[in-house]
Amino acid sequence: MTKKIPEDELILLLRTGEQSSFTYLYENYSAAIYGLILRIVEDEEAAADVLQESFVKIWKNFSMYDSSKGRIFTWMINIARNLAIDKLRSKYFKQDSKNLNLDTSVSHIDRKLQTNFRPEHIGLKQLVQKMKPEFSVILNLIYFKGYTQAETAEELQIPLGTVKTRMRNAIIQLRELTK
Amino acid sequence: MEAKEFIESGILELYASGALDKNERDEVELMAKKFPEVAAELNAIQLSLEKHSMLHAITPPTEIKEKIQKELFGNLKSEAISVNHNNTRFYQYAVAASVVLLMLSSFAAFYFAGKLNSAENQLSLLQTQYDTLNKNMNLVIANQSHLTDEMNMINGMHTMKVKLSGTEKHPGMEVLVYYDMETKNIMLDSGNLPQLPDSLRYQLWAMMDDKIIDAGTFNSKLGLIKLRPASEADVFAITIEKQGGSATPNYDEVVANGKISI
Repeated sequence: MTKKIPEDELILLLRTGEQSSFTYLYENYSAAIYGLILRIVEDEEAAADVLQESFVKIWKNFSMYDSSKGRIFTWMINIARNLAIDKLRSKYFKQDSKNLNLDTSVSHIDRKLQTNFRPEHIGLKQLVQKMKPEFSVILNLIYFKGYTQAETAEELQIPLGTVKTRMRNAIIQLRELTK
Repeated sequence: MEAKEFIESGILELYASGALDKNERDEVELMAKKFPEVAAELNAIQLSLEKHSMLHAITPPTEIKEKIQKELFGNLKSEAISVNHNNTRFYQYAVAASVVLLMLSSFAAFYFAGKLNSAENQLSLLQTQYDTLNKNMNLVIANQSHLTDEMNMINGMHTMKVKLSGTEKHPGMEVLVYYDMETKNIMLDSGNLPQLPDSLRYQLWAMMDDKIIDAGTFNSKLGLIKLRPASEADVFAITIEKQGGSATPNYDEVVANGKISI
């Protein structure tokens, strides 16, 4: 999962449009992207579809990526998040999906991961355990669930202005923990 | 101050989480361009969220990769073609590299062939020099053994040294004849005899009482000349004869003569 080549080199590689650069991108980022998609749609079949849509969109629109606006992963994950939210909100998916009892603090996927614990998630478990619950909740809602500020304020029953500062403090703690 | 407030507002965290609308995103991008510290903070936030995502990674089912590749690059057959096509640049580099390599090896081949050639030339030159030296050494050895033989002969216990002097017609001529009384061998030092034209030769005669023995012809030259042995000798005489010599001496052209003095 670790990146082997620096970001600027990856950008150059992707601009060549060579299949090898797709392979590299997929090998290094698909799991992180799939993890986010699965947490939003909470359905493996739908998540696979969204992952495919995401990679096709990333690949075809790569010329639109502007490195001055941020890291390549941020750009990719935003595409995937938007497509996953679109999928979740689509009429067809809503009719089709089972009525899950959504727990917003810890997703269905993470509960599943916690019961079927695997060694590669040791880092995650440690991170989750070390984070203040109110921070991991807001991070999960906004980053992994794609909630807007208003949606988050409503969900957590907190003032709109608090969303920003709590999110900032959550990420400050995340930065400390992921140093 | 403006940048610091902006950073502390928490808007960058929401931007990095994709939770802002278009107007707010434009504002963040403008601020990041204007203030390097804003850009740096945004990058740090994005990096931490990236790590966060990596920790939350879930490996997708393997068949999805193939499905995506099929959609992006076509089926396997055309994928092979597209690989070739996409790798054109690689092959261009490979061809360019090969050409450079070929040129370098050709140059090296010529260079070393030249070196080899010159080494071979030098070797053949040395071989020639060696052959010449060898030949010369053999000559020296032969000469030396020849000289040893001559020395042994003229210094032999039974060798008589006979001085032949010029006649009235050839005054001042001096020739030495060495005659081994035991072996009957004759050696001659042509002394100050002048060189004869090719059509003529000096001829040595050994005489004993009324017997005249032909001891062979010679021309003037440095060093000792080995002539024919003479069974008997009391007097030696030199005449000038035609090339090839004569059966009997030409008494009109006696150059020098001398008697063995015991």
